[in-house]
Amino acid sequence: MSTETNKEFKQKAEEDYKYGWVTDVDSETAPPGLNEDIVRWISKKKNEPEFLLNWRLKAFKHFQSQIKKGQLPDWANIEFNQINFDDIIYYSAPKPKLESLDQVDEEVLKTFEKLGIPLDEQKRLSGVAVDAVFDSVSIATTFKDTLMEKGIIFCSFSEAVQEYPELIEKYLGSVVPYTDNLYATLNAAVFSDGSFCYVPPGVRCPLELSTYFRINASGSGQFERTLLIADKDSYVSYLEGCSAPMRDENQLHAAVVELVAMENAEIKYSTIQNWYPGDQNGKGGIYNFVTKRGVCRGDNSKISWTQVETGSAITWKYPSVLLLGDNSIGEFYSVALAKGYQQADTGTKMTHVGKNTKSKIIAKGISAGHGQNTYRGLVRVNNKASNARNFTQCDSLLIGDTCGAHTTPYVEVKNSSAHLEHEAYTSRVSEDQLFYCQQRGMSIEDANALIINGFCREVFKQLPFEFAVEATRLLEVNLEGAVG
Amino acid sequence: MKETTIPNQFEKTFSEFEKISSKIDPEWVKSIRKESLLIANSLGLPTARRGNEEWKYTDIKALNKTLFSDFSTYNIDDKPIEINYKNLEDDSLHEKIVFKDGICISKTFQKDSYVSNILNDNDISPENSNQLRNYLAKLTILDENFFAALNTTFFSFGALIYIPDNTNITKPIHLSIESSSQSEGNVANPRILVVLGKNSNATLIEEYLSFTNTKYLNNAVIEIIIGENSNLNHYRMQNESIESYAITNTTVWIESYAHYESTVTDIGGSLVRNNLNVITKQEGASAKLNGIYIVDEKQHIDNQVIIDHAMPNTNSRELYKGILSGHSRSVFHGSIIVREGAYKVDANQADKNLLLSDNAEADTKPAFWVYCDDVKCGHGAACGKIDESAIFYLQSRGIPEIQARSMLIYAFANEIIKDIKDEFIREYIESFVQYKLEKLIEIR
Repeated sequence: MSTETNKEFKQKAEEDYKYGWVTDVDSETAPPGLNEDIVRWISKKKNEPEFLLNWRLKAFKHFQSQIKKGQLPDWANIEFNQINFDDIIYYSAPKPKLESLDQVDEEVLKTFEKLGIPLDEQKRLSGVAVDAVFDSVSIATTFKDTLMEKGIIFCSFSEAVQEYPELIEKYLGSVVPYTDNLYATLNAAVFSDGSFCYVPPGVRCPLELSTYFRINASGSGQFERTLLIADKDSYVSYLEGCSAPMRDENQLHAAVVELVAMENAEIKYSTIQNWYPGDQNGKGGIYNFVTKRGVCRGDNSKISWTQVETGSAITWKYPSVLLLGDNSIGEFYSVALAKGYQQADTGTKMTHVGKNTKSKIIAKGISAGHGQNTYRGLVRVNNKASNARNFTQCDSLLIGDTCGAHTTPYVEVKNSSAHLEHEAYTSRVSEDQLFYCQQRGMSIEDANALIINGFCREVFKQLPFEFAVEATRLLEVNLEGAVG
Repeated sequence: MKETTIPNQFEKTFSEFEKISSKIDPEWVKSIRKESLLIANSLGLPTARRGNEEWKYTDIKALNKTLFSDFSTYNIDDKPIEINYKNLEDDSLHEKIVFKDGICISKTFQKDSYVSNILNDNDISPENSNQLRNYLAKLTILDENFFAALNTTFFSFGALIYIPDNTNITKPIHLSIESSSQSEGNVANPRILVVLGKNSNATLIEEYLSFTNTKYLNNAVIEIIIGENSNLNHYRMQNESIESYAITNTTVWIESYAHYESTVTDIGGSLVRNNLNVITKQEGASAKLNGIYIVDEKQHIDNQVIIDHAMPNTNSRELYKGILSGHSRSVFHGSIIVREGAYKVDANQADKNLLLSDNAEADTKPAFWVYCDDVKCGHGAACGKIDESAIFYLQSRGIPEIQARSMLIYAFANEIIKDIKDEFIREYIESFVQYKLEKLIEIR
């Protein structure tokens, strides 16, 4: 979205306030700031059942007390101006649509081209109004039918609240309670929409579910919430995000993702994140403060996180797995890139509670320019978790001498039968490898790209095929000019 | 230094202390004490509250209840013990320096000794006096370190070991830091400054012993400067009483092409905290830090090791190993920092823990902070139990299970011990470790 429209938008918001927003029933935008009325208003707007409103209010009360006590999560290795929670507009109407691709930022279009994204999709991604016959809409409906046949529920969160309130009541906040951390608390109080998915027992989801193909998904707000439940013996692979840059001027993006895997179920959750990282001088950009957690509730269940984090001014994200069921497995694969003035503090938490639980962590960090990249991970083995097994590898690659790569792994073991290994390595692209490639006739840029791709391969190969191709290209595009 | 309104816990104690210390202290020491007192008062006892990374896993609330009632202070009337230590420890030692409840009581050192008593020695040579002024309390960063500030406020007679340029001392200098206070809640503040000139070699043994069963705090601060091309081998052996708290802050500066080697062995104490802070001050400096800790019952050991690669072409190797039994808990927090412009740094750290009991807990955090691209840094952490198939193998060869077990546990510790170059010290530390291991295996 251009700054122009944003200004208008802001003006509009202020205007609304002048005349009092409560009387103006038609208003789609709440005035900036957070109070109990806003929370009630959001809930009412969305026609939510009683239990959800109460939950939101409890979260709001907790948020207030946390702010009062000054308990902001300040442990991460990131620097930013404290967020003023009173400046944020917590609910707003969908952004005004642009009329054609001509109005879209040139740089964004260039990136689309480099990534090879089809024209129609380009339109969708950059917020251009799409007419009814647009392909992906029909695709979406066909997909929805196929899913319905199998009994899979896949819809927006608001839809789910209306149609499956009993499921929402049962699982909402069961993985990430509203007291978890300040940003999760805030999300619980004011979340606007998100995705909901339920896979019934014994069903193997035939498609890679994706927010791409869902109607109404493109306007996902600042505070989204995803809840994914895989019942007994089911399997689902879920893709989130998009590989194209999102020109969103929102400063704070505080999302929550909850995954629940029952007995023998498997969830594979892949993310590509390329939000606006700010300009060359580190101005602007998204604060991506996301709480993601999965719980392996049943025996033999498995949750696997894969993430490619290339965007956002600040990434603060720790997709975690709570291994409750015996023989359950948690996996985490990550590539995080911090270039320009980006800061990334990301990693995972693996908590072993059940017996014979296993976890694997592969984290690759790339720092370039003035980027600061931190891996922060926790592996905890509780004292009843006999025969727990963990393997962790977190490598960092440094490009240029003004960036930083940091690793802070935490290992807490309370059971003697646990077997844990942790390895980490930090270095730059090896001169020898570069020389070898160049000697074979490759340019230094190509050689660098090749080596960096090799560095990330272990993670990329976990991604679904189309995503992997895009991720590779994305990394190349993002590193242009940074290497050599 | 900012003023503080926090109730000044140590103000009263200090005014008592000052009555004696002011008679001895030179002016510059007086001002150091005043500054440190302010810091100690404003910081207060660190807590394990959220966000305090340094004390995340070590809770020292209990200290406040029992301790700080009694500070070991100067006693000018006490005549330092004059013994010819040579008889005690045969010829294997170069020198022995004794601390009793934090106060250096050795006075008569051998002729042309390298050791002088901080503040107590009227005969301190002008050169030694200069070293003292240049370095005392200059290495340790007090601003965020309550215990170091406390020590700097209340230290009494300490030891200065100054080894001039081009001096090679083959026999170890032995620091025997003994606790024997019968008063509950005693706080001892041993203070040691080691200055090695250029092209010199020395070996230091720092041993902690206890002759009492009361609850006390041994709060040591050690500062070491290793001059150009010099070598220091530093062995720490800690066997405090099972009731005691032992906190040590060691800061080491390594100058160009100098080498520091440290072996830390901890078997005693109820709560032990070692802050080892090594800084490569100039190009070419290197360090090797090894450690072994063996704990049982309710012992708690916390090793915080920071290696700060401030300069290019410096390297470090770090290996800590722990054996945990009973309800014990170990914390290892290693940090490797590579500063901007510190090219060609080669650093490696590892922490390995052997858990012998399901009630023991090992918390490890080997961290990196790298601000430069042309570096090689690696770290590892491992945790596990004794390999049952190895036990079975040994049993199949006719070795009884208990013996097989102790063989394997010992082999785990031996990776550190076998690295000790000096045979005399190796045997000494070996027996030290064996003593504790036998106790562990007996209990099992």
